[in-house]
Amino acid sequence: MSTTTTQSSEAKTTTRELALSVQNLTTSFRSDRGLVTAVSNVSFDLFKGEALGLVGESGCGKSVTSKSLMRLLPEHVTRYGSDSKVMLGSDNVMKYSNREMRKIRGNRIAMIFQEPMTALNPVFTIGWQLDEALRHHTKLNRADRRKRVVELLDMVEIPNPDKRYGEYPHQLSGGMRQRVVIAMALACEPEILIADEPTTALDVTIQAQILRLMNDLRERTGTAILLITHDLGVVAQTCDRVVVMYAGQVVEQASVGDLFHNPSHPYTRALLQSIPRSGKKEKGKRLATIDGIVPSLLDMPKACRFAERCDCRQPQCDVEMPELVNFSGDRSVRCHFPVHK
Amino acid sequence: MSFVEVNNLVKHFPIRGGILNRVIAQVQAVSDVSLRIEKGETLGVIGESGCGKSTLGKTMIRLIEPTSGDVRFDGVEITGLSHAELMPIRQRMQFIFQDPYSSLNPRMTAQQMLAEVIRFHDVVPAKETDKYIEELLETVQLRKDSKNRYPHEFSGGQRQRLNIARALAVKPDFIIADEPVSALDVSVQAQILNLLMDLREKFGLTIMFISHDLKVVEHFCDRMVVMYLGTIVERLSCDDIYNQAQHPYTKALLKSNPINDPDDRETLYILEGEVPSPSNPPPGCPFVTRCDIAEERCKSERPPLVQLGDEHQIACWAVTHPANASTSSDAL
Repeated sequence: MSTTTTQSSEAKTTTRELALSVQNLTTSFRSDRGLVTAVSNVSFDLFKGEALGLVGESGCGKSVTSKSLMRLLPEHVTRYGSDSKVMLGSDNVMKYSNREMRKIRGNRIAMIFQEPMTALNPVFTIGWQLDEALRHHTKLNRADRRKRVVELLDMVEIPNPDKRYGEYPHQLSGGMRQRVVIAMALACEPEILIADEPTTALDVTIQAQILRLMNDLRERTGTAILLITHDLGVVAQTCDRVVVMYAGQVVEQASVGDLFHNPSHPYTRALLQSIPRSGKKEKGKRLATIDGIVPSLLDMPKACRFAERCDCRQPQCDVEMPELVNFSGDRSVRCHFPVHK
Repeated sequence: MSFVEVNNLVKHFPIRGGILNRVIAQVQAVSDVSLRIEKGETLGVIGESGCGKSTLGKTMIRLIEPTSGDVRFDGVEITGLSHAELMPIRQRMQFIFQDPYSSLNPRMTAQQMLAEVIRFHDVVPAKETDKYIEELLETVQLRKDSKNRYPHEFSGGQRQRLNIARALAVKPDFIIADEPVSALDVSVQAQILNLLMDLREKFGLTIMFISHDLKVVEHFCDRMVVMYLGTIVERLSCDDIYNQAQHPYTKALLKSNPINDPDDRETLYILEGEVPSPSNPPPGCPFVTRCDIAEERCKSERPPLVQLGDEHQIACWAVTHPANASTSSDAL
């Protein structure tokens, strides 16, 4: 299947510039029980200055996708598909050597990890850790680097950045640590920022601070953000487009408005309906659920992977795997019987 | 009299240090909390991490001994009871823990786990235990043949069902559920919430539901209390929280909760600053350091919980004081 590029009705989409293009990404792991394919044929484009949401439930392959892009998975057990491409400009990152990879990690593509508690090294000061990317990727001298680090800390709104420079991670609160992690990711002004559940471990008030910070940075620097999350509320508030994953595949891709107001894939619809809604008339009502469980990676159905749990299942769904079909503009759906309104 | 009454409950944890290992400070996890839960009611307790909501729950059933204050359950004061006296009451109040991964013993099958509780509290005669366990599994919608499985063979949602079965095994009237769905995916979360709603109706359970998720609390609970730094700052009905909420902290929570509507991107409300340390809370209102309507008085005097409406109480000088000076004697 091909990726959706520019053919949209919206004016702004015709001028958008590609930052990263993922084509047919397939990631498998060697295991005792054979090759396990965690991500199959995932394709999507990320444009400059946009925030793309990658959503799905635990185990659907969103984190494996993001780590594949950065090639952070353990090499001796990971196999990528032969036609898998991750295009950064005109280069296929999948073909890069480790040395070439190190040049772009933290420089052109940066990543924010989920756990602010474990993403920082407890035995180095935060200043030293922030300085690391600058030491490797820039030619700045020591004094300039220090100035830049303080500037970064100030940018992520950490009070007294000069004093914080010499402090250790345990001296900061969870929200501040996540801000340090963001500052670290932004040290070299990357073109692409991959944020893997950046706010999941944080309280809502701190989450709001972090989301605003990421939005501001995107507007100011034009960094493209790939936001991986299971929280649809966060997606609704921050993303331009959304990719929905289920059992290692992309099942729907759409602009955020289309996805929330007019979901096409039965899985997307079910997911949106299972969130408790505000308001008196919804109160205490039973929530819509998705029956059954996600199929095991070792035993994926050959046909539609969602068929087992789908409420619009037809005979065809058990026989044939639906393709990801591009409908209009930004919308693609992997379903034999998508819902249209 | 209410079914569950908590009066001026306080829990301080000592911090020890120095060469003599003396108590050098206190973490004031729960400071002076009073609340009532009526029979059949579901009360939500909401607040951010570290606000003392879990400690409150655990102290209420004496999994943690309170520093002072008392808890009455169905008319009986349980804070002074001996271990033996407490046991029959413990049977009526059960706890569902947050993490379905660490709250089950990995070396016991579902059957062994449930049988242990049933035997200990002598719920049914020994020869009926097997049948009772099968009934229980059915109640929480687990297959009967899953009773011989170990926790690692269950998914997260199934484990939480097992946790619920364990709590229900002793036929309790009152359940404290500490973040029972926060470790689960939304679709599984919906299943567990539906199950809890069904069980609540079937057994007439009274539930205290501890959570940080406003959407879930609004949907599931009748009333809620909002906690901040170990104290209750507002208590209100869950019917119309968006219009009712008046405490600046509750409002901030509501506004920083991302809603599922991409067209309504009214910039997320940003609450500045960080929560003060619970070992050194401000002398006045606990929220004063982050409040945008704070007055001079808020810095020095702790606001009492004042009745605003039938089901509405609030602890905020700026809301209660300027409007009416007479109601402060209604403090709970």
